[in-house]
Amino acid sequence: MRKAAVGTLAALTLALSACGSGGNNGNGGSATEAPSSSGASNSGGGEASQSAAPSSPQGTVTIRTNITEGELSKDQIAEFEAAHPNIKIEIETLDATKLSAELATDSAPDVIRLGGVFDLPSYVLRGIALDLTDRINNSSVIDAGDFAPVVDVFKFDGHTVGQGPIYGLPKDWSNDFAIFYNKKAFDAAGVPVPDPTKAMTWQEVMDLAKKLTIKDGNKTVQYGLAANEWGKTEPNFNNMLQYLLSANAQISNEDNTKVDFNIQPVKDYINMWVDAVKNNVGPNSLNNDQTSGGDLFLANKAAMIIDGYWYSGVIRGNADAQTHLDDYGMLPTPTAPGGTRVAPTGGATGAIINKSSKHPDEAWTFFEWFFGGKPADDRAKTGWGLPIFKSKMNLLPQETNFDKQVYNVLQDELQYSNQFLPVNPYLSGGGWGIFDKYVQPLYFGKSNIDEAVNGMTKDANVAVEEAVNSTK
Amino acid sequence: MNVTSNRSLGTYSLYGVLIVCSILFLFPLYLAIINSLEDWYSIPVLVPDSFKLSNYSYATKLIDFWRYAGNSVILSGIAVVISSFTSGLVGYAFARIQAPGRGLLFMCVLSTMMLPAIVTQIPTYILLHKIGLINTFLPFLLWAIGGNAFFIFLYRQFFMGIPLELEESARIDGCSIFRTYWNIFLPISIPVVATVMILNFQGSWNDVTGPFMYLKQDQYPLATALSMIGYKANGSTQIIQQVSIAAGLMLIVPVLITFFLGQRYIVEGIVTTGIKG
Amino acid sequence: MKNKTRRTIAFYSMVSPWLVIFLCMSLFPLLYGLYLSFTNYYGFNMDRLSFTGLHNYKLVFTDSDSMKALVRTLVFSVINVPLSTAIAFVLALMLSGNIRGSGIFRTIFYLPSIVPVISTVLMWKLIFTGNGGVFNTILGWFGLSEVNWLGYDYATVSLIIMMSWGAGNGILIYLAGLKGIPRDLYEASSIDGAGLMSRFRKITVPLMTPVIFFNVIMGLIGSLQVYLQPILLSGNELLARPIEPNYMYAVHAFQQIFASQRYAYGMALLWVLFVVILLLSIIVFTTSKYWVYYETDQER
Repeated sequence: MRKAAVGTLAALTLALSACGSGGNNGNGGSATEAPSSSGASNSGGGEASQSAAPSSPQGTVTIRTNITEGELSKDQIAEFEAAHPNIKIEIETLDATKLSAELATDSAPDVIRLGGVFDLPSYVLRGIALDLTDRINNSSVIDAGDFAPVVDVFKFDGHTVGQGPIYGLPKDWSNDFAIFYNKKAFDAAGVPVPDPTKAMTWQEVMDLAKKLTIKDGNKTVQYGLAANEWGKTEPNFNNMLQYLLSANAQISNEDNTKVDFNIQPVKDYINMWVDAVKNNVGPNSLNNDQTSGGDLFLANKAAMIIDGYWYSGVIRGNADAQTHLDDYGMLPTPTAPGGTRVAPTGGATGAIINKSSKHPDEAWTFFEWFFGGKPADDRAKTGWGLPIFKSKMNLLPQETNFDKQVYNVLQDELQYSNQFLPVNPYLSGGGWGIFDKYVQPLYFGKSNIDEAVNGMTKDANVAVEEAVNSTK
Repeated sequence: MNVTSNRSLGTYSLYGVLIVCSILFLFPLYLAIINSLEDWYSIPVLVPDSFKLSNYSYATKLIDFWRYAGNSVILSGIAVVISSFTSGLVGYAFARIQAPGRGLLFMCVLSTMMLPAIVTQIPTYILLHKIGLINTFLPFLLWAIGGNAFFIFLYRQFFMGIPLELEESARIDGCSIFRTYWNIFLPISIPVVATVMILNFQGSWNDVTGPFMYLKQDQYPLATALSMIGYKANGSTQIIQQVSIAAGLMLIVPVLITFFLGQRYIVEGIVTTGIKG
Repeated sequence: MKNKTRRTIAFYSMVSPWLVIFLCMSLFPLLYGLYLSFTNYYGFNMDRLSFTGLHNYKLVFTDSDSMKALVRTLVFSVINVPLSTAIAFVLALMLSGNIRGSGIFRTIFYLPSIVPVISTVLMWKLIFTGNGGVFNTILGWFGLSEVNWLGYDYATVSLIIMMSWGAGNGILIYLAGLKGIPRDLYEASSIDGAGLMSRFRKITVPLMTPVIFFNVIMGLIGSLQVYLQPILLSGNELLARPIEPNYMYAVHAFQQIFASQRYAYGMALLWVLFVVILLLSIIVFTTSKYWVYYETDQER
């Protein structure tokens, strides 16, 4: 999911941009490009690989990446560079426009960060991603047999995610549509916490949310549900894709060139949510409460929040929550009514190697170290996301009761994490806005469900058709 | 008697309005200040409940703060010194010198402001990349030399309001056109020059996108660095809002100081005496 | 004749810094950007662009959002521009006197223009919010029922209120203009026995018209391009879609580019906006000879 954690306060800061990290090498990209293909397939773990021969500066290759500083610390880079004296790592902040400009001038980074679920298929179709199948299979650092099922989200054969060559790896991931609860709020409403061994349906979640919402006269003192940490309790496109996956329904045709929202599960999903919005189960456009979902949840003013494992890191790190950590816990990802249980990831941020990288071998050395070496262990230990290796799962925090509760529910969830959101690579990020455009008026009674799904279909097909044409 | 009491009544109500407006204008600043002093990752507050001055020192330590600030000084220095000057020159020509093609050219100046930057960003990147100016300060120097459409327009408006006799007397003295501008127009236009310099400093100091697109990370000015590189604790992906706000506040301090010092020149800089009659 | 040549040479040499840089550094990007709006550019296919003729422009006039958004933006600007211009002018008048503490007040009034938009919006959300917001609390005092300030009916009103608050941008320029009015003009008129109001009408306003004109044109350009404020007022991130009444034209264009990577289409949208702004500016320029007071002869 959109981890950006754009809390209300992001407002106060200048932090506005989408993502980023920047820095090209010298003018026109000439700079240091002496041939040096050695060191590529060396074990990335660090130590000993090239202890001898401090390589001369002109033998050095600079690998550029837009993996952010929060994900790749200066210390980690220093460690890597010490172990691989022939490679220098340069972090570069990018947004969509600058990446496009760099692609246009063939000066894009060697290792490109992206979201696995929503971006990977379109990057493959655009011919930007290097096929890593052989390198991964032959790697001594990365054990492909140890991969969690989620890694398949970086496989794409042109039609179906999860099949075909593999183009990259996620750095971590989460079951992003699970539920976290705050028992304090359940107690206040006199409602028991649901059984964490069973997945509820989304309809049951909404009904529960209604019961958990407490009013004092006109004022809402407690909400039942927060849809995310940054905004309102309203449906969104990604969340709908999870519902459709569970309901085994498709909005795209076989080769993704046509989209149709006019199917019953889409209507059911939207109707269910519009009802929840009208029933005031969270801050939304109708009650115009501007407090963000995450703030409400952590302040005991919302009983549940839709979020993946990574959110346990937020709870652990919050000073107020720390005082009553045992009140918090995770519930499995809900299903569509009558649907199958699925716990897909909504993000799986990771990276690919740029097909036109001038140093694919060195880029790979860095890549396998970052995804399979020490940084992978470091990431798992923080509990800010799930590792991509089965064997690293036990590195996750398991000290407190809260850690254990979350860890146990997670073990159950992992069995259902081998399916992926049915993303249309030609629509990718555009679906979100189209969805909002037609659903918002429904809250205010300015439209009806048939108008909405037909409008979505029309707009989405225009965008899809254009995208298809541009990849030809 | 009546007049005085009327006047003091007027002054009081003026103060009343000014103070009410001030509160409205100061409120976001207040919010920023109290929240910059809160614990990391805490929920935003309306009433202060913590006093962590250390956030300010973290703001300078978690990122390469002073290097970015240095870049800011260079980039805004280039803009303030060069562009304020050349914009005046161009604005003067548009205001006071009749020549064929003037109207059309002036529309060209204005129209550069009518197109959102996104349309030309990628083409500009391609151009700069081709001529090898990406990741250098040189384009910013060249753009400064070319002047800024907003300021050219502003200068033109002010120069057009200056009485004609001024030029006539200069012509009688045998001044060249450039000398007329330099020796006669500029000195009496100190309020405008000060306005342009203040706005120019503010604009270039706060410019995020330009440097982001055409420079590399260690060349970023502070504004770009703060909005593109978030403050994060080692290994965490969560931005530390409290430190970001502290940094944001430090970013605006030079702009406020410049304004406070500069506004005196706007208000006191009238040397209009001697123009009339 | 000789004089005319001399003037032409002087003119072109004085505008040459701008002209040369414009030709060398801005013209190519402009033309290239224009060209891209006639292609299927999608952010990554620069090496295999195909020319699509007027396809994108046809889409501008037929898609389900653009024309509605354009009308909405024009209506918004018709209210916003005069309002902001007037407010800034009045504030500048209040600050122009040399009252005690005027420097401090000026600095405070300047704040809205340097505080990042995003923190401005945060403050206004606290005022507009439904659960215990400032406006609704005040309505409550008068026994009036609460209003959804950011809902369908009031979202644009709220946007305009918020934008007026930020009108301080123009204050500085007005101050400079006010200080340029020779004091002897006022003195002469007070000898003639003109009252405060008539001095304001007969001296201040006419002499300020070049500056007012500047602020109107700049306000128009800014107002028609508005996108950040409506987005942030509704959501918390840049790709959030504002509520329908605040879905302005530039918002539409930016969403096409950043959310859907429809670069070519987004650029076509912005070129159409460019033409609209240009036409409106030309109209304002043409009317200016009736209401703007210049010392020099305007145009021919």
